Amino acid sequence: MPGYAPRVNLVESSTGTDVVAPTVGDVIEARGLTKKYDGRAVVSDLSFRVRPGIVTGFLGANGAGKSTTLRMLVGLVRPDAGLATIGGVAYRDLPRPASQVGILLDPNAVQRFRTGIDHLTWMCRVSGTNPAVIPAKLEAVGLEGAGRQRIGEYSLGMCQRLALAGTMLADPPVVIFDEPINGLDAEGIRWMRRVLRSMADEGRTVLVSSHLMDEMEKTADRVIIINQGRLVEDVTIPELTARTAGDCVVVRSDDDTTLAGELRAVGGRVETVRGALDVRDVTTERIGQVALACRIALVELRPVRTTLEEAFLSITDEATPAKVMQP
Amino acid sequence: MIDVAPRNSLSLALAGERAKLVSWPNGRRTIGFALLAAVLGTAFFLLTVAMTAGKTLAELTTRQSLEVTLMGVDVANITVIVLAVLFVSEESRTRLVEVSVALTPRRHNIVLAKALLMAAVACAVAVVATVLVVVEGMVILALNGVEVPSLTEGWVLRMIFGTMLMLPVHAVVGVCFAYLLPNALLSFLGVFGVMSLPSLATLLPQELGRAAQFLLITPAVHTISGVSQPGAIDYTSALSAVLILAAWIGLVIPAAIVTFRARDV
Repeated sequence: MPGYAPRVNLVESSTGTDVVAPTVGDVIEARGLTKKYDGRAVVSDLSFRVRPGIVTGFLGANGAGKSTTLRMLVGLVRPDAGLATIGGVAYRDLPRPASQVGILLDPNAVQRFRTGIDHLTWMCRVSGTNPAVIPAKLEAVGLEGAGRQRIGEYSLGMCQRLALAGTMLADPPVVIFDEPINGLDAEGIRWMRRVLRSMADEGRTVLVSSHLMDEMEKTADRVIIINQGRLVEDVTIPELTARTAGDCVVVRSDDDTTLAGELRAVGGRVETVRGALDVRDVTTERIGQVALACRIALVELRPVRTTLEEAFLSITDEATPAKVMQP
Repeated sequence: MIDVAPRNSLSLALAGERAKLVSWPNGRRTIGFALLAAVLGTAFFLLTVAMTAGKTLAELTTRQSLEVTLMGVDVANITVIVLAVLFVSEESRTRLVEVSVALTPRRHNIVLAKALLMAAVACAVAVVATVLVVVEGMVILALNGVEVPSLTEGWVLRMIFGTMLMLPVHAVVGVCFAYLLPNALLSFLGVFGVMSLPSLATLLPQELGRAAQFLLITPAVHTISGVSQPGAIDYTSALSAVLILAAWIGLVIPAAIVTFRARDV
């Protein structure tokens, strides 16, 4: 399966014509976004910034308000309060929105009687893009043999690829994807991961929503986490997982009892958990030094790492007074 | 950006809508059906005039025979209304409207592009359907030994062009009603209701019924085409008729734009 073909750089396209390199103007910014349905706030006073050059994951449980937020960013949903801008400009005021922002919100938002080529053709026409780019885009997403097929014959994964081709018709410097791996098989997921990475490496601003934590951990550099429509975290994944782990180090030795005492003596908090010591407030290096000084052989010395999923559950549990949602 | 032409949003939206129409099989079928229905409609109305009007073809005046001939265009008109409504509502039903709005965030351009495109299609259908039914009508009338209306006479040309005008007006109203009302059926019934209101208005007290004619599309079209003559209940002056049509277009398009802008998609 061919991968998305990343360009050599952002100022040279496949057709050799110039493109505008991403700048600080490609920052996505939400300020105090609020949306209520039937009096219930789906998104509440949400503010964040998304920068170019990295993959930013937009995480939340189902119903957390991710899709509504993305729709507010691009003007599909009108916020009750707040403002969303791309490069400091509201999406609807961008001079060439389709060529500046690629949007993949719902791969099923298609008319199934059209062929893939027909679908991309009208998108080219409305965005002012030359339809001559279509074969290359179809090839880039692995649909080169399916362009003349009706979309009704496409699988969900193929629809996802078609939608991705649609977002990239004009090589926009900003891309916003809502759950882009839905419907993709394992190979497709790996391919999408490479696509997102190559886009970020090219300097694009990449915002990707997902409720799949494992996938985001492999894909995103930074995550914005929302819960019940409110911002919970806006942080890099290493920062988040380290903080959630609480700098805990697992230690096993040939004399845990003595070592525990020595570590407490240097200010550590030590607990015995499942036959090992969970040590906090003492660095790994210091633990090694203490063990050496006591001539205790270490069997295991391992900083605890939490997964993004564990971190997510931990912080959303804290942020949710009564847990009502399932991730 | 690469390969992106510097054009204004309305022309881009229009180009996109045209590309959608070209790749819409049901749209092409509906246009074909409109022309076929026009031809069949004219044949039906001319050949059943004895049952519907209680007269033979030979007993009709030349004006009446042209009116009956042009009834096929009325059938095409109804089909074009269906086309216009479906062109909008199918996009909402399939959620393609999300992509359309994302690509054209200034939504008034989408409404205007659809209205302009449907008006253009309706004009084309009107011209082709009218040519077909006039030729067909002349053949049927001649075969029945009836005097054929002369295409060089002013009243004949006025009736033909006035009848053709009905299609783009209703197409634009159909597009706008599809934005104003929640589904295709209601939208079609809405336009059909507007078309039928003149008949219902005759049930009102005479003065009220007469006044109502000055608010409706069909009397205006009939006045412009000369189907309604001075003295008839649905006759308005030519100037009034033009103003009535302009007012309808001038009201439904902004109403559709406001409705569409306010909607979350």
